[in-house]
Amino acid sequence: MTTSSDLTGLTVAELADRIRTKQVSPVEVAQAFIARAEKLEPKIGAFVTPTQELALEAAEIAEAEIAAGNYKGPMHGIPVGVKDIYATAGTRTTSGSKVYADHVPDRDSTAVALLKQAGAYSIGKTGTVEFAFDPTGRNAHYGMPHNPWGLDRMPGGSSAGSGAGTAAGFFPVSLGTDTGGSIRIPSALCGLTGIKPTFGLTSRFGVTPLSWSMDTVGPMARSAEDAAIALNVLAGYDADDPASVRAPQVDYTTDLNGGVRGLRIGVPKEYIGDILDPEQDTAFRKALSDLEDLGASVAEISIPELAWVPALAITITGVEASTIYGELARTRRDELDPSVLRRVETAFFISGERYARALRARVLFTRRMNAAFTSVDLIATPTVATPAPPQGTERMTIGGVQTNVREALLRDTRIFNMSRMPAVAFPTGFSADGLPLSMQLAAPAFQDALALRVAHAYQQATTWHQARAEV
Amino acid sequence: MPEFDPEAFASLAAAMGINADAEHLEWLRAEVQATLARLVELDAIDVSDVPAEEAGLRHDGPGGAA
Repeated sequence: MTTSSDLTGLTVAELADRIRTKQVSPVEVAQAFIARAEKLEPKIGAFVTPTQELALEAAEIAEAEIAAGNYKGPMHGIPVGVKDIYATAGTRTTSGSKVYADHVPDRDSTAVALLKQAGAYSIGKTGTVEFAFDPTGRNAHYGMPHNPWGLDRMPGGSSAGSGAGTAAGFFPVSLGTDTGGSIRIPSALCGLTGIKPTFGLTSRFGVTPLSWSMDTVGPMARSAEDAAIALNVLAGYDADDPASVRAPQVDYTTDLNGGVRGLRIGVPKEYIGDILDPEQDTAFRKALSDLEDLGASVAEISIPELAWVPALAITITGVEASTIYGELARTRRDELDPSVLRRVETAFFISGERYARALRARVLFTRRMNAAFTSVDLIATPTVATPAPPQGTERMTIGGVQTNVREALLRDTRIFNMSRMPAVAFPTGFSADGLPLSMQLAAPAFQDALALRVAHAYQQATTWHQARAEV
Repeated sequence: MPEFDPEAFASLAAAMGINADAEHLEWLRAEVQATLARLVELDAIDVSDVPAEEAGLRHDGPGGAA
């Protein structure tokens, strides 16, 4: 027999199997997750707008559909945490901002619509940094969610509530967005598996923008298999998103069990070790060794251009964000999160010439990354330089190097936002303080399935992703 | 890189529509100064091989789209 508390510890794949075979009903699943969230939300603060009544109604519909023989697939009857920058028809979408505290869209974002078509439903809108413009999870208006692995720790951002809520067992999978690492950073800090898909693979229609040339929609989950299941629903061309790509239709679960034998994994010798916590580094090296044991080969590669990444990211993200939010910064400055306001204002001073130069340099950088992929199949790095920092941290010392916390969280993830390639973050162990450690694997553009396959192979051989936080 | 004179910076900020108190402007001046200093390294990258009109449009990865 499966109890309610057992249900909230299951993965999407496990829940789907029980729903498909009618061992458990979608309503029972919804009730279990709602009960857990009601009990623990005061400690975590994952939700901005819980939608539990709507979730129960959706679960009842799913139950009736399945009873009538209309099973839609593994997301049918699955509750999802939805980052509060995804438009949800009839449910407020704040974008983490006081300015939009009462904004109620009349149309779903494409991602939410696709999840509904697959029979999934939102269990609530989850906390985000205002306009997704910070990697820590802070939000002056709605608060920073608490990391289930250490309530005084940052959950990471900007998809902070999705990360904290998935890790706390409020929902088995969630939607995040990733412009500089906002899926992978909270996944890393909260012990989850999250994929930033290839830019253009998933639709951003109805998602509050930050940087139009890098914003990417993707899932956060407890396993690579679950991320693949969710990506199957989310991937696809959408005429409503100008950046959407007509990529070949792929089932991201088909090759999950293909293993890693014969695959070549490259590890950059520059940049990634410049700022890196020793425990994070040790877990990363051990994970690489585990992948070698599974049949992959690991080799050092040289990409000196990685040094360009911070300046490219600051310029491109800053200018594009200030283009979008500049008017708000001028006219409603007192209503914006001060940390966001300052970043938008700073970008006012970056010249158009420098922005254009950064765009051209990004093309060169992508060419260099493509060249690196002629000698390896995947590139591996730690996901973040540090385990989850204490909330309120601004500066920290990592491996003897003084840095600010934003740099520590963003420096490795945004490599693959610049190259717009897929990257999956997954757990590789725990620090002495009991905090999750993480690495990321990146693949060439549109080879998202390859990155998921290798993460899945690692998770078949290890148990880090199965650990659950005691809240 | 030359430093912004506080008064000149305040004038520039006002021209950009930043209507803030002196304390905020002083913080912002330091932040802008530090940020622009960091971005100088972009100027050393030879981008002549990339036509400007392509840079915002091309994915330049497999598939070549977006």
